[in-house]
Amino acid sequence: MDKSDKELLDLYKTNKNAALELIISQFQERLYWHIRKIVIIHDDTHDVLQNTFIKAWKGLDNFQEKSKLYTWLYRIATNESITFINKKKKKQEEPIENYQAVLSNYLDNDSLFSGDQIKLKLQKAILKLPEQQRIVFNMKYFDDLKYIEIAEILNLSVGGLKASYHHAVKKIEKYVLED
Amino acid sequence: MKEAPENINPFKTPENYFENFSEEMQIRISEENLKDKFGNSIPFKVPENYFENSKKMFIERIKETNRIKKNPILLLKPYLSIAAGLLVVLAVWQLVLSNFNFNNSTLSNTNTIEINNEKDNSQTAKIYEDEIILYTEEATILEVVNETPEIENDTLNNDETIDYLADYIDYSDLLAMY
Repeated sequence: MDKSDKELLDLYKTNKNAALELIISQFQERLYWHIRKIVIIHDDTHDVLQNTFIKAWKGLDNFQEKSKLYTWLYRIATNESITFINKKKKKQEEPIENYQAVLSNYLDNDSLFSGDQIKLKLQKAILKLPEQQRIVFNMKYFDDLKYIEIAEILNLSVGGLKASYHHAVKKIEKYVLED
Repeated sequence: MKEAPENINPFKTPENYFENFSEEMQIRISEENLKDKFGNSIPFKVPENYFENSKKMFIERIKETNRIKKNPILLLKPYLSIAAGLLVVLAVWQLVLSNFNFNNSTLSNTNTIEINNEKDNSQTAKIYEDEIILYTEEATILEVVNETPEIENDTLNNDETIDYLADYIDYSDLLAMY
């Protein structure tokens, strides 16, 4: 059973190693899937998740409990994913704007993609979205998070998020119909 | 905020709620259509036992980071190696450079000594030459005197002999000898 934020933070004050184990156990899967939907490749996801926990662990002393621990971790994971992607775009031989196409091609041969052709089609359509719309779409469509939660994680207004999600859904519909 | 008509109910709606309602419904319907057609499960998987293994890896990695944080020497370790490497390169370079300078200075010292020697030798040679000429002049003169039968060596002193020979000998013979 998951521990509450208070229990985890109290434990952190008395026994850091035990708290570390519990935090990783409790959040690693959710964070993994969140990151995987952004960076797509498993190995990259592993690296980003590791960076996320290291960053979180270093910053936990300064965590002010203004938000939920989960929201805070989600925000770190999102930032780490975006930073990772931007670095990778700069390193790749292809032009930066082709990065989504590179990922789309990667999905065709990814042994860790478990979906059928229909799901592949949806993923490729999602990859055509601008980065922020893609993240918002994933959080709303797959994770079913509320606008207010997404707004808190991404530090955006609820109105802006709604508009972003609406655009994303319309574009996906269009891409899917075009194909 | 928009007030409910009086005497109907005590509730209120958020601002622009009804204006945006139809648009929100449209999006909800599109979303539901997509979910019906494509589903909303995540179509990715992870290697077997990934989460069990990754948990151990993450804990180890964080503990390692903590150790480095507590012991700054560990943080500097890679830089210390680089610094040590640079020092070795500098030391070798210095050694090569000093050896090169030593060779050069030895060479230039040798040159100086040789030049000095040449200078000394030429001076010495000049002195010797003068002495030899002086000596040879007298010796030759005396020799010539001794070998000349007309001169009675016993009766003439050196000065008289030299005066005599000054008129008698051909200097061109002497010069040809040297």
